[in-house]
Amino acid sequence: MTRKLLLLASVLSGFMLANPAISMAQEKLSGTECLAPAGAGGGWDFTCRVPAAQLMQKLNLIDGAMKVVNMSGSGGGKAFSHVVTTRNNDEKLIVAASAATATRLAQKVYGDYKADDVRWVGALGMDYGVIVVSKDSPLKTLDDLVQKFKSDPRKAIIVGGSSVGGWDHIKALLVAKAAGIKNLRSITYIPFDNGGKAMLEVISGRAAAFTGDASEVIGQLKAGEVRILAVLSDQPIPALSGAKTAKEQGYDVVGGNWRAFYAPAGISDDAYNYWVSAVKAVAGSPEWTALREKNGLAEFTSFGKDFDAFVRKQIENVAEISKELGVTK
Amino acid sequence: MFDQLLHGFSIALSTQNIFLVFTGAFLGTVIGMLPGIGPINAIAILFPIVLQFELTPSSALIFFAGIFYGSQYGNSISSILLNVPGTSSAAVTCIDGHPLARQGRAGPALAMSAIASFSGGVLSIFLLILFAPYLSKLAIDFGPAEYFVLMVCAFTALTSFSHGSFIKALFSAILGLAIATIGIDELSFGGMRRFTFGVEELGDGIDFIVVVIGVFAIGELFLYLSELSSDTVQKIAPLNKVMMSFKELKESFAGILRSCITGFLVGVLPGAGATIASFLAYSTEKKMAGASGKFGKGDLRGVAAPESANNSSAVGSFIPLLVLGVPGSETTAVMLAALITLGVTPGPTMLTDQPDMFWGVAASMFIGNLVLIILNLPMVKLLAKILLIPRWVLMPLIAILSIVGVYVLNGSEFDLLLMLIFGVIGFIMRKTGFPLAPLILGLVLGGLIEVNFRRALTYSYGDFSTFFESPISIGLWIITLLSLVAPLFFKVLKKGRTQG
Amino acid sequence: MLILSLVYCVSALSLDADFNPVNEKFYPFVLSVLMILLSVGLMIWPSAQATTWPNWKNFQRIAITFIAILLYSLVLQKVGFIISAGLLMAICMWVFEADLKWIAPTSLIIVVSFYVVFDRMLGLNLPAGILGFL
Repeated sequence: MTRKLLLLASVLSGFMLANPAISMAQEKLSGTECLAPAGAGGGWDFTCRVPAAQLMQKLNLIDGAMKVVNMSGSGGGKAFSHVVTTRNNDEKLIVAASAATATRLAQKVYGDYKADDVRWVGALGMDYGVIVVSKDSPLKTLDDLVQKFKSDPRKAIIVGGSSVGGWDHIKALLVAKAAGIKNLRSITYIPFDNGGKAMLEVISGRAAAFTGDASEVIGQLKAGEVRILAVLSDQPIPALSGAKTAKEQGYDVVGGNWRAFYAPAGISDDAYNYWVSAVKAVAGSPEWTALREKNGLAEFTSFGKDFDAFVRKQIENVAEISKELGVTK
Repeated sequence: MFDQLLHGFSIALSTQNIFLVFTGAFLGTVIGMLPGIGPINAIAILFPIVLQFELTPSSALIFFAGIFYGSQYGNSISSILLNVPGTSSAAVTCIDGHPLARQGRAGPALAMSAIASFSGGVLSIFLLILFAPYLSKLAIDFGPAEYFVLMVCAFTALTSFSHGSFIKALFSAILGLAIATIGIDELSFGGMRRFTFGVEELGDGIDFIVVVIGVFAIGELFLYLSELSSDTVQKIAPLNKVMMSFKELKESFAGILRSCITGFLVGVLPGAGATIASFLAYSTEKKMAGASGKFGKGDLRGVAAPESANNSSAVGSFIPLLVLGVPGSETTAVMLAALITLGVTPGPTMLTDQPDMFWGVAASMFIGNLVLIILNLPMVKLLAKILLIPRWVLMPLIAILSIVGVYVLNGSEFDLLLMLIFGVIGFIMRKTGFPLAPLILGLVLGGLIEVNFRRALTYSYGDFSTFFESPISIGLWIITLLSLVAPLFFKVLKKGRTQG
Repeated sequence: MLILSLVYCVSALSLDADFNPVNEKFYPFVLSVLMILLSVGLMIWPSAQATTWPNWKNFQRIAITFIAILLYSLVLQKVGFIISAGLLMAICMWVFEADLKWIAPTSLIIVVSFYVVFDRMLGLNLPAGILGFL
């Protein structure tokens, strides 16, 4: 009885911002599994281990423990094709995803697989994109950087933690595109192993600007080593005090790295709704809110159909710019 | 500073933290002995426990540091005894460690590994405490051009692996470099697939551990089979003394010191890594020993150098992590991700925001190293007995350890096939006298050389003078030249002396 | 060896890219040229080391082990870890001339303990295969 009450309470707390019509009347699933499409220690692994495995059990949304399985390969492509080809009806399975998943789908890194081949469950938070320069940089605003792109691209090399054509690169190019730059290839981007290393290139003055996520820059920002030229969010983010959004500066670019889940396409609507409400409950729980803020993730909740539409829209945008860039043909 | 260190000890010596360091070191050793899973998996697996018990960031990091050390030591155990290295840096320990074990000197080799790890670890902690803030500047100044030159410098370590034919050693190394180019190229638009020959799985490149376990462990298995019951049976000699002699310890000591400094400096650079540290230290010691050493055939100094270097590079890698918030290795990247989740903001402010963390960790490193040596020296005798297991259990056991280790790495059957192929390559290379160490060196350096070469040239828009611009690069070129010329010079000198 | 180098060189040259040091083609090409030079060098100055190839019996043993590991990799997913690794262990023990009566119990104990340690205790998944009900 108390367990049920607890469940009810946790579900209710999740429903503060969610649709109360979805009921959790269905039996709780046991023997669930979260598939992390990369090795231990990365973002996808975290998404599986903490919000999914740990919080879903703690909030009593599933029966018993959730198993976390790591399957790395082809930037998540191996896990994607595994889900589509061999686990298509597995109702006990969810898979961690992020903006990188959508980027790679758009760029056909996963072969011919499409967003339709899975069901998009919901997102838990968003790490908004930022463009950052060193504290001594002559560039003061986003306009300055764009001018540099146009007038002297050799002195406007940008760096980031994702590969060429990856999400960090694309975010910077979305800004350039919004500024009307036609030849996107004229902008040089150099990839590094992670955002932290790339930022050292900016601090040392070797590169002009860094493109990455908010959570990556907060530390250096607090230490006064870097300045934010623009945040790619709708609203200014409180954690990045005083940083202007790209929108405020006249560039209509919003982008970030969301943390989310997808499920196999062949599962029943009941099972799908079950997972949607479970993710909703986690997203609304105080436990997740605290963790999310510690991780520098902004609030971003989008579930079920809305989230599906969101992912499709993003894939469309990325596909378009990738074509212009020549990443995909 | 002394006050702060004392304060650090008062943190590290709390009952909870001692317990954590102890458990971490123990779990790490056990996990490290199993190939394929290293500190990265251990930390990721144990992370939910950290959340469950609501450990403070300092305690969590103390725990992780214990795991990190422990697993490095555990790795050297399986490298020495079974020739199954679990990480790339342990592959260097295999070169002399396993021959020693075969000569019945597993005891001294293990003891030396423990002592060298301990000394390297403790000495580098002093370096950490004294120089951390200054050295972080070094990490910032090292750009792609400097990294490229550093890799070239490391590549000259090759010259010390060429007993017999230099051409063969060079070919091995370049084969290693070439294998490293297989896979999707992150620096080209759209990620060009190179040398994948249409095989989907090759897109991610070939995992280092797969090659290492393939050529060392599986290759060894085949080699053993090929000599079974013929006249040249290589029996593992009965176990002799457990400890090395005092003389041997004394001989190694200067090498441990040198290796510790090399390892530490390389560890500080977030783009280099423990394997390069081990190789550099090993080859330096080999050159220093000259003809007097039995390097490659079982020299205790050849175990001491890489073990000291890889432990001190582990300590060094905490500098960019704690001072700059930049992870230098995959392991520290996982630690950082864990710390972020605990509410630590990575970056230069970490030292002022969390002073307890830096000093607490430094102090607990002392304790962790102490715990490890206390835990492990008495174990040496017991561990060395593993070799007394009859070979018809031991050799199949190595096969099972390898296949499990390689499988859990990525959960891929394809990796098993690759491992098998590299086993055959390793076997043939041994039979035909191609040294294995340069292959591993090439493989480690391969990706790094290319990627930094191309990054640097992208910055300079194709201008090669970028490699000779900074004082750091020029200094490294000079070291490179010296390391090539010095052995020749010594030779000439010696000749002159014997003749005169 | 020369053949290997040539294959590598040809595939390096067939990469679809401009020939520019910054590009993805230059570096592999340099490597391949070096490899070819070295292979030729080795033909001109062969090294003195004598190679002893295994006798026929040992060659068979190597082949059996090779095939056993190969089969293991192929059936692992379907049959599961315990059965396939158990068989592999048994074959390896047989190849190493183990006493026949020890083979079954030893391989069973070792393989099951590996399964328990890796899969159950460390949470690293080994395929359960047809023993999935365990």
